[in-house]
Amino acid sequence: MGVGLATVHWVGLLAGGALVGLCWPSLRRAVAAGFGFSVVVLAVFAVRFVLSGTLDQYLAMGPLLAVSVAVPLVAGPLGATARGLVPDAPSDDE
Amino acid sequence: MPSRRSVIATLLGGTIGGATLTDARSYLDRFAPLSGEVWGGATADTPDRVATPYGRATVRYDDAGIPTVAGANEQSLYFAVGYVHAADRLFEMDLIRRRMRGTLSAAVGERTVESDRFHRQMDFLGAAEASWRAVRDTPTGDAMRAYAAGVEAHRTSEALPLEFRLLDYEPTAWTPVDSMLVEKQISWGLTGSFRTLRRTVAAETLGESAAATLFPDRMDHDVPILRGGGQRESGGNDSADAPALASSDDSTGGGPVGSDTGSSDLAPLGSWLDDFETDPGVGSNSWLVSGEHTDSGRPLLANDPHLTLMAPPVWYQMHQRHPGTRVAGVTFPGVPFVVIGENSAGAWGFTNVGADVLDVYTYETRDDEYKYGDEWRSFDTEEQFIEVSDGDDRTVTVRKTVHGPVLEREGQRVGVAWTGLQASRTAVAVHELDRSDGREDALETLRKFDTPTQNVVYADRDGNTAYTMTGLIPVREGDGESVRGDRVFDGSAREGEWPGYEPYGEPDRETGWIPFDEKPGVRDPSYVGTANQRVVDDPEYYLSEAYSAPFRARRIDDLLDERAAADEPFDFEFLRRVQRDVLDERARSFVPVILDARDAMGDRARRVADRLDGWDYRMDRDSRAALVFARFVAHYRRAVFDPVFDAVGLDDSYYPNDWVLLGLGPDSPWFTDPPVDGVAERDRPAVVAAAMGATASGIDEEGYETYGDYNRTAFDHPFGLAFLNYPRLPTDGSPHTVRNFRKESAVGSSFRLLARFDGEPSVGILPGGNDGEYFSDHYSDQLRAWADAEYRPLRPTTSGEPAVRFEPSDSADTGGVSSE
Repeated sequence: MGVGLATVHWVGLLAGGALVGLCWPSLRRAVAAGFGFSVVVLAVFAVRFVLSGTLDQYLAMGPLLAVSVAVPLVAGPLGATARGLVPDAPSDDE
Repeated sequence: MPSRRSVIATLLGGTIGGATLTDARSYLDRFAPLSGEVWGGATADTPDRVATPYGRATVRYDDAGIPTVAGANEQSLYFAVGYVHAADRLFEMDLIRRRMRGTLSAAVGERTVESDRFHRQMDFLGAAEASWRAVRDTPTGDAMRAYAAGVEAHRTSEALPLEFRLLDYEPTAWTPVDSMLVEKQISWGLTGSFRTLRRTVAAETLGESAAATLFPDRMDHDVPILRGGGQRESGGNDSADAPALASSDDSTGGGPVGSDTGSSDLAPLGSWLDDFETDPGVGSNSWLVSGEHTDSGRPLLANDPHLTLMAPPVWYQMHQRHPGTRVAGVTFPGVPFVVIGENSAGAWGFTNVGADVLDVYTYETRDDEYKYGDEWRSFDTEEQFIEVSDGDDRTVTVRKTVHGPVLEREGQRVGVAWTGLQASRTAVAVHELDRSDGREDALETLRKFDTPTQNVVYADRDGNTAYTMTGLIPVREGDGESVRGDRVFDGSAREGEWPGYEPYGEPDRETGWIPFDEKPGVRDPSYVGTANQRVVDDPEYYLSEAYSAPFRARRIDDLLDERAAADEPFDFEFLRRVQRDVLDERARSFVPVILDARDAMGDRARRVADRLDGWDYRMDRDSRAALVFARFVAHYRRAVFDPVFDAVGLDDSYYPNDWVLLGLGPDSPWFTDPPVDGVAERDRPAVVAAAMGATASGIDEEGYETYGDYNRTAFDHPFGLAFLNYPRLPTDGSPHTVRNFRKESAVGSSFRLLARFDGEPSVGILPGGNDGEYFSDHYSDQLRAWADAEYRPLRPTTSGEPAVRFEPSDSADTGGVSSE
């Protein structure tokens, strides 16, 4: 669902990170999951270039490439911090 | 202490708020992965069916992205051509019209304000509107309306090219007037020269003699285009062009009085205009050979126009078909017609004449009036605003006189008359040329080719050939006699008037212009070559202030003469060999001078100069000698002229061409008595030695080994983003070889055409790719072949499933295209 939202609007990157983060019991794990979400987004993004035969052109785009990579790497974990708005789930040890 | 929750809430809220309420939102909208607007072009598919109000048409692309557009009728064809142009070149088209309208800064910001100021003051838009008024009620007008509707069909329904997203603006509707602006840009790029202004400034600064050296009225050579023998105009003597005309020798500067008339004060204006006028490297080659001299018995024709080399290319290659017409070649994005190419009947090519079709006038002025003859007239004045993206808008005052626009800089004003400011029927001429049915038909339609002035070579399948010249060329009048156009005229004294001239209106084409039938030309020459050199030695009328240096012309003529003198007939392979020729006539003439100066050189310079000994003068990428010579000429030019120019504040736009530079003998005053106090007498061998020393140092510093290390393609996108530029590839040729490439200014063979009529396909090549879309496979796929002087056959794609079908639809309209 997060990837789907991200294809519609960049806010979807934050929302996707939040959705992923909320699935985890702690903020730390949520942020890690948000980062994982970012990687998935980038992978899907790259696959679209592969399928259209334009990956080489994308990889040559310099500053635009950097921006497109940086945005999800920031937005995913940032969205996942929404997990911190609710209390951590009790650990199995408790 | 704030809680974790409040910290995170603040972080998220601040980030989202910052992203949505600041400029960051625009960047995220454009560049975010998956949803960003700039990525649309990477994955967008072109629709395979498009509604059209004009009738069926199809588009099939070949493996280089070159379309074959076939229409059920002419208008359905041009609708589809407009759609295809927009699909592949919409940003380039928009950039051209913005430049000519003077609205670039609204898209790209501060850096183009001066360009906008110049183009507003020239009012190219008014000139384009005049051309459209002259054409709109003709079949060509119908074709251009259909074309504009096709552009609009794409612009309003498909993803915009990457560049629009990067600049964050959307193009406005395309109109036929925009097509006319493209034509004005081409005409201006080929004939918009302020050489007269520079020559006047040089004469005021350095004296008439020095100015005459830098800007010679005539170059002493024996290779005019028409060399006699069957030509309408015969050549062969050494008299000056149009000797019966009033001489300019005693009239440099014009000599009027008043606030706008001090010629030396024109230097800042001249320097400013240098950024907007014809590039001195613009030129072209063409030649044709009669079937009497070919192995096939059919004519052969070659053409390669030397224009700006950029990404994407100036030209868009295509095949166009509708019942009764088949034409192939290159179009200008923004104009529907094939300009250079071939149709079912014949083939044709263009080179620039270099005719003098622009004059400059000074005026006696008071307040907002200028004197014209015995009366005072008000300037036609309008205040306009230049919108500047991310900057303060500017105001520009657009003034006009009876001659046309007034250009102003640092308080100095000049009026400008240019043939292209009038209504032009060139679009009609090119449209009809595409449909022409042989030589006589083609020559008849070329009468309407009002601008720019071009040499045309034509050959048809029946074996008829011709050379002719297009374009309105003024016959200037002053004091009741014809005068040359190589000086700044006193507009108040009505010097240099052009009878029949009507800026921004319809000219009287029967009055005040060189009659078409009296221009130089020839039917059925054995062979003829053009390389922007003097057209004829003794023209009946004053044609030009200056032609190109004749190095290419000499080489082409020598090769054609040698082949004609041999028993072997001309063949297609020979045609190709000439177009690929890289022998530099400059080297043939000047290398002996360099070698003779070796005694004056230091050890390192002498070792480098020794490379030239025994060299074949060919500018091959693998040649060390070619590298040495190319770099030497650049250093020698500076060594000869910079001490003088620096002393009087002249910039490099005052450099003469290499024919002048390399023709300065050891006794030239530029060595023995420089035209400026404080610059000491110099010895030519010493200057040569110093230049070779600088050459040796420069080559070492840059780490060049061969010419190909230096002579590399550098065809850039106007945007300035590196990834949009074409790859750097080594190539052959120089600014003065037939295979033409000017590395420093990125000018050269913008399309190479070799046309034949023996049943085999003609061939051509573009310097880059046909598709201006960065993500396309055809963005630069012809570049390597161009750099290696290879060709592709001009073969239409007529089978297979069309990439796009245009189908009539009840709901389809003209896309909201207006005539204006």
